[in-house]
Amino acid sequence: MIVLFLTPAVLAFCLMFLYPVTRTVIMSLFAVKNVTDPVSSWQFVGLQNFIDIISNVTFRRAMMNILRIWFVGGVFTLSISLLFAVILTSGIKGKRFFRAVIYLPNVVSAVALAIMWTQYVFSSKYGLFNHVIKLFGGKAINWMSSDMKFWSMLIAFIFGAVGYYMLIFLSGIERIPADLYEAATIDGASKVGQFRHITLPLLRSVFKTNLTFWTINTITFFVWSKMFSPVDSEMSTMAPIVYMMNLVFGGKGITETKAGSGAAVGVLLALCVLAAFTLFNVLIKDDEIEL
Amino acid sequence: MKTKEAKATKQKAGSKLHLSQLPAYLIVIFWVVFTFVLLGWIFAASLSTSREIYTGEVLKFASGFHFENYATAWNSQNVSVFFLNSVLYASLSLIGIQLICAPAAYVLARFVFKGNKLLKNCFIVAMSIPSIMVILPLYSAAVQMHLTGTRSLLIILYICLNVPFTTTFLLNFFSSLSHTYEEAAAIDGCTPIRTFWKIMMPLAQPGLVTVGIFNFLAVWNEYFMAMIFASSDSLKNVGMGLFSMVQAMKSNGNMGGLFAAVVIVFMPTFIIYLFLSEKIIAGITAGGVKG
Amino acid sequence: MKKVMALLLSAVMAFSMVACGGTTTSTSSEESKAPESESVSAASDKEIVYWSMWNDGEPQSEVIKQAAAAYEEKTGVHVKIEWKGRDITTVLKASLDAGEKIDVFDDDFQRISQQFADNCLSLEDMAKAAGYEDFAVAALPAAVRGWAGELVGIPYQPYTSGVFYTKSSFEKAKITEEPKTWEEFMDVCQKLKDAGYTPLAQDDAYTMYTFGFILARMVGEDGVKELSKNGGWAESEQAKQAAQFVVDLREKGYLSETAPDAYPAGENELGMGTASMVVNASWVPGEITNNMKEGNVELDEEWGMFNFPTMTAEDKDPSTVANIGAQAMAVNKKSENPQEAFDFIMAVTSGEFDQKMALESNGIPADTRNEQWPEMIANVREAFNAQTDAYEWNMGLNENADLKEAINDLINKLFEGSLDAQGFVTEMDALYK
Repeated sequence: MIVLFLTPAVLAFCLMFLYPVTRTVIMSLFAVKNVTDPVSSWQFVGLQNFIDIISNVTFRRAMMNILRIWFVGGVFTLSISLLFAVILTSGIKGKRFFRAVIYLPNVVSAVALAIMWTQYVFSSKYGLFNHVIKLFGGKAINWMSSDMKFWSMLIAFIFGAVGYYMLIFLSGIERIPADLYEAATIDGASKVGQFRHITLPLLRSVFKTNLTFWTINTITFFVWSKMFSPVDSEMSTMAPIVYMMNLVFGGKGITETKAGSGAAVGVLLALCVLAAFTLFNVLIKDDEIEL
Repeated sequence: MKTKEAKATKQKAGSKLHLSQLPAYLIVIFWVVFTFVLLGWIFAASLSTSREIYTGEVLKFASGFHFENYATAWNSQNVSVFFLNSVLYASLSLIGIQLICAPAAYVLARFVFKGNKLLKNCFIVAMSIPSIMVILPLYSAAVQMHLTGTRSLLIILYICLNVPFTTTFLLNFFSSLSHTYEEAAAIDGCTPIRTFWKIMMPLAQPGLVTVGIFNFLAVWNEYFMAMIFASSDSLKNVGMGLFSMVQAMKSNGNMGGLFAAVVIVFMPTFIIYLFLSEKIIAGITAGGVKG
Repeated sequence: MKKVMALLLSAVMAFSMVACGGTTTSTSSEESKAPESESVSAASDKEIVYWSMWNDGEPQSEVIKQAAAAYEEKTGVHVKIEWKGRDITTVLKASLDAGEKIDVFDDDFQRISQQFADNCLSLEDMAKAAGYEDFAVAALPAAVRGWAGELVGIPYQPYTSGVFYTKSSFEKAKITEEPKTWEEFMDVCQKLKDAGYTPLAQDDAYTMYTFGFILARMVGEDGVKELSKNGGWAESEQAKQAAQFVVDLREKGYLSETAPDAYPAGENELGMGTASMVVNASWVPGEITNNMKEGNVELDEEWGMFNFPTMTAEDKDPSTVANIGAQAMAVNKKSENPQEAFDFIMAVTSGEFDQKMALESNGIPADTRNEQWPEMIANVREAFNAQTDAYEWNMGLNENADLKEAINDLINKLFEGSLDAQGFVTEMDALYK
């Protein structure tokens, strides 16, 4: 029975993860032109693929971009979602309604959201943001200029992401035993003090979960980049996966494909995920209370 | 039980602090209004002409409501095809995922055998592998086996892709069920396999529903796999279909139709969300905290 | 909960039934293919498979559908069309290499001639037999041969480029002569500005295009390629001057305040009557008209076009050189029915359906026997026929694949005004270190 019940799942795992991952790792060490080339035509080049991509200015910018998304976006997304989680658990009315609406953007296709942001919110002449700025007498900003585009994209990305992380924080906070707060209130601790000394420390493992999800989310950053530069890939919105797709399948004006280097991008990203996870595990100890 | 009490007391404690909650309300209400404005704009745009969208006159409806956008989108822009494809992909893979994962999760949760722990860990690791790592070999294999351009390929991929998450989720769920059911069944002379189908599966229904909704939404809006494996218009799901509509916009310029398509695509997920948001949220939080 | 689940499941099942039925009946030509069935097909019901770069629902795809139907009517050969859209570039190469059954495919004619040339059947003999050269736009097959060494694809949907403007704006600014030199161009800009227009609309997606034109006029396409490939921008007097021309445009207020705009916001300003000119390809009048459609009411605007002006007295290229291009249809080397495939290509790219496609898509006919040009670009005809040489897309700036995005970024900054001419060439050279 054990075998019978497990076989399909294990098979799926091997088919979808074990085999492809192994092959990608091997491929990253070879010069491969097309992704469909037979193994016999691969040429072993050692770490040359990795050296090539790391010395490429576009790839470095792409990595820099997702690093900024990870750090700046991470700080904002996680603090905003934590703030909402705390507010919603502070006993305000209409909690369920607010919770549902804040999560709502996650249900809408990212493609649709991105069109809305680029055509409406960030439009330099008719956009919502510039409209509000002008209302307060400020000077209109060109949100889609080469310097601003990245930040505009990040704002849009954060807006879409907050709801998801808020939910996870929310469930974490709701599992903290209420008597801790009662005791603190009796001892005269302020709301802020309670937050700092009870909520935050006890949310450690939830934090770790959120960080993990956020990391995977930024590493695989793709749709937003594509939607913010729909005609051709651009420096300001470049992401490693876009770069990889150009390498493997050729983009506009790129006639030479390098599937081996593309695989190297994949391996490098996977290593980043691995490094980040290890770091989180070392830095953030799980709570003694199982939440 | 305990958490419910805790919530109640926390809420009671909170309701005394009316004035100090004002900033909290303001922040949340601001965000909610912003969300409504953005999503409202998408809806308004779906009833406008291209000119109105490009010139920032969406919310005025000067030329009336263009309901014909919906008809255009549905018929001549192939949204009906994308939509039905998505329904097909999402529902069939949902069924497939559950048939594969539920037995596996049950076995992993209930039986002690060699390699149990290893498998569990494999699934957890697989959850964090970016799909970019698996896509190249899968594509190459699919092309060599002449499987590209078929719906079944995409469905198989979606099933396999979701196995690790779903199994891990259900595993936690099965672990939380009491052992007494199986013991009783064993005493009645029920075989383990029968016990699973007749007793454990019905008991696990809430978990299956939650994870099912989750899978459905994930496949519905999926974009990355579809881009590589569903390259014909006739195979595209809604995520990919929307993107190619954006590209085709250049030659047909029908922005109103595009947003009508966005709304059509959004509706099913929205309706599911409206009725089952509690379930979805519970699913995300449970999966999140444990994952 | 059980009830909800049951309901949900049955709804899903019902949906999927509809899905199966719906998709197969409505698009029966595109049902998922049964592998290995093609080998048994008898001669009478031959089938060729066409992977198309168009999306279903575009004007081009509508005409292609009609052409395929007419072709089938005449020959009994069924054409199975897979609408791949622009993402065809992504999957085509791998699919061809793997031996997927594809007889005809299309893409940009330069990509066909370079990236896909190895997979294309030489069409020289069949083209000769069909008398193709008698009616082709000579420059186009010449370009294909220039890249690939032989005719590997049949170009269609040709386009040319230059400066497009709205006639109403020129009338209002009392401009009677189209500018031929940069000096005259700047005069025109001033007049337009005085008449209340943004003289030149500029989208971010086309900054390389405009700058490429300026630079290529002065150093020729090969000169641009050399700069793009190996750098040396700061040493090139012309490169600096070209950058200065862009700076002039901005400083004199001939570009919009927000330029370069997020595509297509810039070009749309022509349609809204706030801007006058745009440097682009001959599809732009049709594109803007589409974007400005108000229900069934078409934009009422007459379009003018002139060649991109000459820059200096020492220019390398005359104003009769422009970026011309096309899509091309090619026959897969592994096709079992090459002649049928070629005949289908001819049915689409010449005669009745070429004429139809030109009119429907506001494009240029590929068959010179087709006398009718869409009204919108009728005045492009003279310039198109007088062209002496052709530039590639972005006039050679695309030559450096590794730095393409970085170069684009700096050119955007130049148009934004955040870099001056000296800063631009210095930053450019810094990329090559």
